[in-house]
Amino acid sequence: MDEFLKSVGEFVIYLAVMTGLLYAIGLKNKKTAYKIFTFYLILIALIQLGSFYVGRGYLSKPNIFYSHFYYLGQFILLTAFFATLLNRKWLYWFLVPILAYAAFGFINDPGSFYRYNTVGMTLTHGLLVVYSVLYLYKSISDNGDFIIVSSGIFLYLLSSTLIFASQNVLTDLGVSREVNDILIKVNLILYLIFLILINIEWIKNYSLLDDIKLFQKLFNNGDNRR
Amino acid sequence: MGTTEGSDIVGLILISVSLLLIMALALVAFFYFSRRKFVSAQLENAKMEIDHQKEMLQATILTQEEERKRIAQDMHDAISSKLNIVSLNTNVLLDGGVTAQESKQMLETILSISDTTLENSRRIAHDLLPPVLEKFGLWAGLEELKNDFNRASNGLIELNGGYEKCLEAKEELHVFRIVQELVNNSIRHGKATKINMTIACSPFALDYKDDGCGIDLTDKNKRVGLGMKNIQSRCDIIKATTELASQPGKGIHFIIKT
Repeated sequence: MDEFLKSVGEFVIYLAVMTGLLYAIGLKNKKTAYKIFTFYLILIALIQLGSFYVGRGYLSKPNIFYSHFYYLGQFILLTAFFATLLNRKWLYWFLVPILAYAAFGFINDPGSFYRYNTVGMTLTHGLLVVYSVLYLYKSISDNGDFIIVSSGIFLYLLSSTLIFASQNVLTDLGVSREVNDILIKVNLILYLIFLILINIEWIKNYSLLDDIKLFQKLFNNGDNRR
Repeated sequence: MGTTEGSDIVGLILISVSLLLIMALALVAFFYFSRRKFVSAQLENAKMEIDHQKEMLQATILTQEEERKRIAQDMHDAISSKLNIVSLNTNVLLDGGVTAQESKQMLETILSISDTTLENSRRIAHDLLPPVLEKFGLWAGLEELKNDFNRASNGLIELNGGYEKCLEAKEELHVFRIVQELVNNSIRHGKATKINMTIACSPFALDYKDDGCGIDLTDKNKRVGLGMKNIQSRCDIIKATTELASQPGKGIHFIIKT
């Protein structure tokens, strides 16, 4: 295993878990969109931990089946996230055909559980990219939350879709692991950027940074008065 | 499959991914800059609105001061000075030592001055708030205004149309003040010899025309007078729109609509 993949891969897992925990702080008093996004982060962190445990960490078994939990869970939660942000309930209707398609795939060919569902991934990523563009467009004139996160979702999903979609083809063509690892590295870096953007959003808009600054200002003013 | 072909495919995918990434970045940048532009435009609008309000507030304060000055002057000239004479005469009478004829003359003076003072105080109060306006409404107020001016110069003001209580009392007062200001402007600055006013109801509209010297609206250097600012601020209060058309030598045409 490439050292780079190993170290950065592990770092991304820790960062994903940390990000999930960071967002979970003070979850109670936050808006619905924030809560849904936190669930999404926790789900992704759990899937990453699981796939790491099964695949590389201890069992060294194929972990591709986690990709189904990843793309379906991501699609369900991010659809709810954007439906809340955009205040458009009809987005939920897209869940029905996609979930039906995935279920049909598993029933029809149980073996597909151990392969990437490239069509499903491309479809869900494509829809989520459209939602994020709709939201970014809305946020031009509105004072919207989660603009950095939406930009991150748009950037990451749009660019990583092709990498996910190519995986089955590359395996079928028998492309060597070393060559394919280049794509995995690129995806890892893109995912790292996505996580960093999610953290920037938290620091800028949800950390207590502003409150601390305000408190310091008030405190200093109080000092000056005395 | 050979390693070279595999690398080619991966290379192609990498190029496509890079292109997608560049496209995505460009789009995000586009959204970001559009948002910034939108926000700055909104800020600019808000700033203009605040500036306008400040200007109106300043005009209101200045008008108030002018009005106070005028009232003080009126009271000084028309009441205090007259009451001084009454006081002097009364003192002389109290001191005694005046003949019956002189005493009668003084009492007559006191009576005549008291009458004038009464009349003056009535006029001042009337100028401040015409009782007709309060008791009988806008139309009666405007009729009285017209008659007052037409007494001094016949046929100066013509009042047309009709009015059926479509404004609240407060709004009526604003409209009355606007008309007062317009008539004052027409006579004082425009040297108008003919003023034509038409009132319409539901929705309320005032159409005001004069044949005075008019103003050059294209001349940006000419600052809008305090009177016009005052009119604008009253129109803002009653949420009315205004239209002003004028050319030098061709009078003014002013329309207010609610």
